[in-house]
Amino acid sequence: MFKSQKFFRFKKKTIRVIKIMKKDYKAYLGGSIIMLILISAIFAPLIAPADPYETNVAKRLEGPSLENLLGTDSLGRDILSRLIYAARPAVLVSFGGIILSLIIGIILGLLAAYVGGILENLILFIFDVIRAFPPIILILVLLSIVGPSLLSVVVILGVTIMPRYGRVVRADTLSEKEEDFVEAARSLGAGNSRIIFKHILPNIFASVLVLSGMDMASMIMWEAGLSFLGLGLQPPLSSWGVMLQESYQYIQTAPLMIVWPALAIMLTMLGFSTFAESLRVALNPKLNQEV
Amino acid sequence: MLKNKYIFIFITAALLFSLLTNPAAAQDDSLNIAIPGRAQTLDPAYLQRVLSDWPVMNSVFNGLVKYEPGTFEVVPDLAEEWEVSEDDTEITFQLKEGIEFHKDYGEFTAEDVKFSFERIIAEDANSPEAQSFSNLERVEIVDQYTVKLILSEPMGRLFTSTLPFNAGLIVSKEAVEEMGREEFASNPIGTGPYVFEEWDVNNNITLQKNENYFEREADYGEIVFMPMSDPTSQELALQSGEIDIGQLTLDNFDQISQMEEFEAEIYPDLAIQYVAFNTSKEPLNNEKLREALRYIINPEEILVGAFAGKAERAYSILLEDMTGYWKAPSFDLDEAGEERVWELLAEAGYPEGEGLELEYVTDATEERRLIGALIQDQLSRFNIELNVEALEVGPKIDRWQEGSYDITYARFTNTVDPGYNFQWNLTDQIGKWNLFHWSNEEYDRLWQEAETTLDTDLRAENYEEMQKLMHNDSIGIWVTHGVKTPAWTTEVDPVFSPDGVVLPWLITSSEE
Amino acid sequence: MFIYITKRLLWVIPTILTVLLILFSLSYLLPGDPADIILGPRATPEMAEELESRLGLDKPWYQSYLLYLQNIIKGDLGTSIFRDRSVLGVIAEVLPYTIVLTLAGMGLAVFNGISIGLLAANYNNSYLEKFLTLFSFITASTPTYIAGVLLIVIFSVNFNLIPSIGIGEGGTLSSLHHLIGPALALSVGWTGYIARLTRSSMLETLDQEFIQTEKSFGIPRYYILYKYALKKAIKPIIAVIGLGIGRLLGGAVFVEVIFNRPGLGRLIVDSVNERDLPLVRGGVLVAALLFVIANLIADISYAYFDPRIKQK
Repeated sequence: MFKSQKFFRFKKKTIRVIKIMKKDYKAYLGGSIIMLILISAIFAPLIAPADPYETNVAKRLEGPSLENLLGTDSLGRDILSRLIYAARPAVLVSFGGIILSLIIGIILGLLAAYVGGILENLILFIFDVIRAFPPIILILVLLSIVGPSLLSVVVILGVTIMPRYGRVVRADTLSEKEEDFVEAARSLGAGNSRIIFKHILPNIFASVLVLSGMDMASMIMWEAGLSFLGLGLQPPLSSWGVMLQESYQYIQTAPLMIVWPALAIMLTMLGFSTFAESLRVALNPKLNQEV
Repeated sequence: MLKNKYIFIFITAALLFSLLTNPAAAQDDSLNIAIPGRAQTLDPAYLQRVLSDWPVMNSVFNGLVKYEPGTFEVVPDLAEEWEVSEDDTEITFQLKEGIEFHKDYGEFTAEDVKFSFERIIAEDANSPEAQSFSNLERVEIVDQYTVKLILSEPMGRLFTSTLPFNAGLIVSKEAVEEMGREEFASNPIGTGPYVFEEWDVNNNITLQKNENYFEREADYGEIVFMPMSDPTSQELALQSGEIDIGQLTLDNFDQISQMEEFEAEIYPDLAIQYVAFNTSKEPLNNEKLREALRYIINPEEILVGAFAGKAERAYSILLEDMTGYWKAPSFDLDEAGEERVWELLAEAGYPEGEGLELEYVTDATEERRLIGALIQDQLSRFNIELNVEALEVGPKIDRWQEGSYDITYARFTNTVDPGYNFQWNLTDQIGKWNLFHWSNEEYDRLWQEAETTLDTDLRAENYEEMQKLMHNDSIGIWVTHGVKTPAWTTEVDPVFSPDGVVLPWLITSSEE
Repeated sequence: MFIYITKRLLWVIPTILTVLLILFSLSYLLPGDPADIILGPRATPEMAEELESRLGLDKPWYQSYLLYLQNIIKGDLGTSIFRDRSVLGVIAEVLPYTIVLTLAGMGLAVFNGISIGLLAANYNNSYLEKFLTLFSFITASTPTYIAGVLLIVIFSVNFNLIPSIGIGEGGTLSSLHHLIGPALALSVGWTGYIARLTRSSMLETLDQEFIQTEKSFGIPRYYILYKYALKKAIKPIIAVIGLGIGRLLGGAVFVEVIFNRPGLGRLIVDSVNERDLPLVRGGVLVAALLFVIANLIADISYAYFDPRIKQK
């Protein structure tokens, strides 16, 4: 009984959200950009016109041509193909980082809210220690310890951002715990895990979703920034940040070269943030601004 | 609210106004020179990165001898003349008289020479230059202007690299004793053409002209050295007029050197960049395989891809005009034919290259990543898989010393003394800086013999022999000596060493 | 309120102690033998030994941690390995530049953001508003380093209007001139955010009853907009400034590197690259302290200014 009621509420809410978002140009803009990035990442080998790793120093730093639509880089590799392939690490870093921080954040947040006492304080304390560092500086120092690689970037970004989710989950869980239907479910003998999965998680889903949309934009930004400082991914893997750094020194001879990765980064960030914003407004039409 | 608006208007106006002025234009009597890195100490006995600090050091200090500007020929500086004893172990210097240290630290005498050298070899000195004076036993003062170096054994590198380089620079004994070492490191006192003035927050180093210099007075009243590690920013700063002399990036060299306001030149760097094979680890302990790699890895492509075709190919650790230069034959794939490489691979047990997977360790810098990506692509044409690991300096050195890699790429700074440049491939450097993890008794013996003789012919013969040994074992590929690409505004007329390091006190204004 | 602040302040102490422990453990965590990395091939065994004792690597870890804490309480952050100067001295020298840069960036962001936001609120539901909203999303999606690079390419290289490096040589004018590019680059991301915040906060306020009443009295529109609405709507903006300063502190890392300015961010990047451990520890510690303080101010001002936030 509770299950169907709960599900009904969730469904109704979803329909309402979609209805509001349908009227918002930001949702279309963000959604289509995200789709574009996802498609590039998944189908890169099919879309890319050339092998992104194949070098040909004889035709380096060439401008756009029919053969190389966006030109070639300093090793004569096709920029368009590299740009398309670089959507893969971007998606891996943003989605991977978020999923990781969601998993850790939700577990720790739930634990804190449910167990309480010393454990709760300890968890909150861990969050505060992580939050005591400016994120980029924490990431920088951690990366210099474990060394740069796709995996370490994902893990470090995930851990750095995790306290946000932990705190939100804990706060929401605490207030949901008070709600009648949870009390009712408990009195009917529902186990903790059942309550968590059926009642609490669907309710905190919304706020977490909005937050993660914004954070995915930040993750892309940080990854590119790290690469810009020379702490990015390993070759031949190329990310937009690596491409940005590579083209910085050709800024006068081949100024167009830096434009493509910069556009890709900005577009992706724009996509995630407009979509998240649209979602936020739809979920909570009354309340306007919140971090 | 209204009040705030005025403040905003004021700030905006101030910002706009400051846009119109151009404070970047430097004073006429002052020179701004970019140096590749932040100075760490201004004490010549403790320099870590000799190359970036060299123009500064050389402006403040003098040695007993120096390189004739524009060459690597050794000529007198603070010394008037010298005499070498028959057994090559006693060198007596006659010093110039009446030379004063900066800031009233008194006259330069034999005391200062003894002090400057003995503080380097002292046991508790911890000077990185101790190596440079390895055979120096003590310094004897004969009289106020005569000083004698007593060696335990003849020292081949004494005049080629020790004395004319930073180890040989003379500091003021009085100043070091008065200030202490730490204080002296940021307040250097020498006899040079420029007097140290300030080392500021931005790590800029300001020098003022020494009015009482014992040689021709410098042209410019003030020099500011500005550290900029990134050639792109040096290039931008040069174009926006913030510096007068800097380095160009290789790719923009042609474009900028053709501009009317700038001049530029290419110099070979005094260094060696090479691909090293780990000869003591599977699978590259197989000489056949290393030979195949010498065909597959094409340095010419690296020169085009990572050095914009501006750097020359190297065929030896040494520059061509150095004692003992020997040109190693190059392994040209087109000449030998792909067949030859497939044969070598088959002989080594990897027919068709299948199943061969190699670890490549390199720096995380832009240029090194490009080189890694190129070599990776070159090897993939022969079905060889290369895992590139671009590491920070720390982990990279760890891997180097453990020997946990198959191929690596390195740049070693050279001096004009061949003995110095060959020392890293000795057996006792394995686990330290012998990146080939290669041991050859004959090589070690030849090096030792050359080190303790002043006989140039014998040294040359030994060094050639050593290079052949390295070649026969195919331990690596010399790629390039690298290049320096100094550029300057046409308002100044600079002088450079043969490896492209600016000699600041010889810069003249071209407007006079 | 007072209790809340005191509680928050007390909570900071163990946090900082743990931060210190983490920073301390860096010397054990960072890969590579410090002596080799720091001193290079020219190192002698004696130098390596001296360095190890300076880094406290020759004692058991708890002893050197206690020593480290003791020194910090005394205000001694150690000596930089490469600069032969005290870490505190080096940081004290560069810190003012970071603070000025951050404040200037924040100032620009607030000024430009509020202007854009007001304009958007004033012309709500027009094409101008849609354009401005999209514009603020785009600026909010422009990472500091991209903004910095673009500014240098356009204004330093092509038009030679603003300097691309350094802080200028003496004189307020020269310093201001050198500050324009970096501050602008730093402000870009936060400008969009403040613009959006201003717009929505203004719209919300304008919706409220008393303004509707004023309108019906025929009070001039601009008067309502500035005199009443902005005064009320500005509160949540003030509330996020503290938060923004913390964020911009991170952005300053990139700006300082790109524009070759002295500052805390570049100091940390340089010292991490050089493995100058005492300097890494000192720099990160100061950055963390500043960040904690900025966040504290943000939390408190949030609680104070934003009427929607209620303290539990």
